Amino acid sequence: MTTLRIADRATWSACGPDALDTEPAAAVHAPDLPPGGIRPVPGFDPAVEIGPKGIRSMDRATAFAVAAAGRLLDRAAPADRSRTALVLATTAGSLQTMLDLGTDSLTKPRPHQVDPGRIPVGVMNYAAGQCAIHHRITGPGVILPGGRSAPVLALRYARRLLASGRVDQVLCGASEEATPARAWLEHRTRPATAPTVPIGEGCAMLRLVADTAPGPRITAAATELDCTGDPASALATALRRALATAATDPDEIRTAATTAALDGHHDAETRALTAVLGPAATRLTAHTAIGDTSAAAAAFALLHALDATAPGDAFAVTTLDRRGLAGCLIGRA
Amino acid sequence: MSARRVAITGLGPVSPIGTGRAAFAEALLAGRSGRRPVTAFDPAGFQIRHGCEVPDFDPAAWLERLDPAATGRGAAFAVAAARLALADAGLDPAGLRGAAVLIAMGTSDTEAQEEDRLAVEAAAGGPAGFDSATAARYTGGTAVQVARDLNLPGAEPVDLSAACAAGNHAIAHSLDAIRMGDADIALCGGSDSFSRRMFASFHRVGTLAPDACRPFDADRAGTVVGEGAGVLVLEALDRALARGARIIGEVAGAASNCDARHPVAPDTASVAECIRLAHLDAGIEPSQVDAICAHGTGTPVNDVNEARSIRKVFGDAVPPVVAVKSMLGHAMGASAALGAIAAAVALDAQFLPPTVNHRRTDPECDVDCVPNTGRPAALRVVENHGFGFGGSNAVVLIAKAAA
Repeated sequence: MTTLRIADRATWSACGPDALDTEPAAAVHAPDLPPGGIRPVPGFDPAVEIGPKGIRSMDRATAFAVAAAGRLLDRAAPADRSRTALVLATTAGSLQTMLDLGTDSLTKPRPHQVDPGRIPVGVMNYAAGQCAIHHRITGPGVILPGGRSAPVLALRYARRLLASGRVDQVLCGASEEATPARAWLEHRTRPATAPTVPIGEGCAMLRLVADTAPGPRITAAATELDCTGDPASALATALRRALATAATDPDEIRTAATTAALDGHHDAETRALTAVLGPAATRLTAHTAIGDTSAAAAAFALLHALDATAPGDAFAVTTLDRRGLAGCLIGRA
Repeated sequence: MSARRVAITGLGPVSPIGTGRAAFAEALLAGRSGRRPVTAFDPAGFQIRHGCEVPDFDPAAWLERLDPAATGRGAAFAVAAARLALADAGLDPAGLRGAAVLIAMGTSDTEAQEEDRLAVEAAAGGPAGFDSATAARYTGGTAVQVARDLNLPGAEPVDLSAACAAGNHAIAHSLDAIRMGDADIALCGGSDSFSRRMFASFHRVGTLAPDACRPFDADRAGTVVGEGAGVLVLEALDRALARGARIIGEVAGAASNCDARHPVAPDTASVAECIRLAHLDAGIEPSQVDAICAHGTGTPVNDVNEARSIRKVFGDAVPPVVAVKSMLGHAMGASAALGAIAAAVALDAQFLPPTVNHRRTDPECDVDCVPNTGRPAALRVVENHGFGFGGSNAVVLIAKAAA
């Protein structure tokens, strides 16, 4: 089967651009934010990172993605942008923009008095269109809305675009913004068993190709929905399915980057990993230092796993979201 | 190794003019309109107060495992559409547990009515006012809820946001997944609910029709907001034949691309390129397309751009171009899926549904939109268009299965 080679990666996070191991920016607390506060990306100026054109109404999640896509394309050899795709996971795009439009309709003198400049920004696939416009990417572009497991589904989507021969490369990742709207959405949906970490933001994006050149790759992605009230079993099933697809033995996995604590499923995730992989694989949760980045967390976890695994060795990334959807990525660093 | 062929074996529409294949087909071919007064919210203060809502939809009649009170309207539509499509295909959800199933659902903005509720809750004191139950319904997702209600834990549940082209993206992705053997069966399409934010936005920029949606008409003045869901059952053709399924048609090919020019204004050249890419994927020539199920929103800009794009590909031999949004309104992320179902219905009936509300064709569009009254037609391939904000284009080709 076609495996995905990670030709390059770009990030924006509380650690700044293209860094994940530096001291993250301090959490910000304010009266309009939930108790954990937010952990913003420091010093991000869209006018500098993207350029001054077309950014007036742009939301931060989109701006991070446009900037990350730009760096990936700038660093790569020139490629046919009509055979380049963009696949981006998110919780809900810019909920803040959507919400501002919605509340304006309720509170302005007339209900249609919403800001016309922000209407296109409030359409969930705005980020895909903006990445395309700023970088002339005319291949397929979609947004994958979902919870923590969305990056797993995004990578499967990306793999099919490459395996079908429709495109030569896919810019695939996830982006979130730490606005009051998203912070409260996360806070209100956070299970009681999840820690109150600050709401993080940022974008993690990969440039994926389907060639056989040496380098890090993703060899399998799988999901399983918990329909029986046993999330550990669902994740164990997803793990086994992904390992089988990747033709990787459980004891080959050196590193497991976990995310399920953010969704109150730490114990279930630990049980599943122990049951399938045994105790040997190193557990990583480093991505939580940049806050809870929602749909982007698994993408950041993937990068942490890559960094923590010796070249050629196998790693796993796991998710178990609030709806009970378990996800698993298997790859080699 | 040649790619597997992909059959359409079931259709599940939930629409303003009919729910279930038989009711939908009857209303569609007869040219019935789903336009009625808005009830999803209080339209006081808006000049325009009509839309195409799905009437009398009762989630409890469809949901077997999900709690109706904890499920958004978009997800409930999708579950209903999926159950209808499976029944139409003669498939029992319990019989799918051993199969590789993909559930791919297009949406414009996920649970739009729940987002409206979040706005109500935030209007007074900001987002701290969000209710946990609303937030949970809003983030519940669509495909995941379908998988849960059908008890398909191993299904791959993916939601795709690509504005009003999303339904076609979901079908195109499912086509690829089955072709390459990743999936045996796909439940694919789109779902969206009627929302105040979307209505207000369209109202604000003047794209809502004051009376009716009149695609390709010289006097067209905008679209009508709609809602609903459409799910198609796609199966590997050999598998469908082996189980003796009724083959409604085949997904012969598909393609998607992006204008990369403007957040909302469509681009003639890239829409034409998307059509060409779909023809290439299906291995057909333009002359083999017998009808087009248009994006056809009834807005001045879309229809003339779409007609020009068609002409760039088809030259002077443009087949009939039907706009079902004249009946269904614009169901956002569900619209292309409902269009694909309409295309399959037309193919199955060998009958073109009409473009209703039509008075005189815009000479700038100059298409045969099958005005007001449907008619019999020999149809082998019907092309379904879906174009959306963000410059997202997706085209699906539905063909009659070879005997």
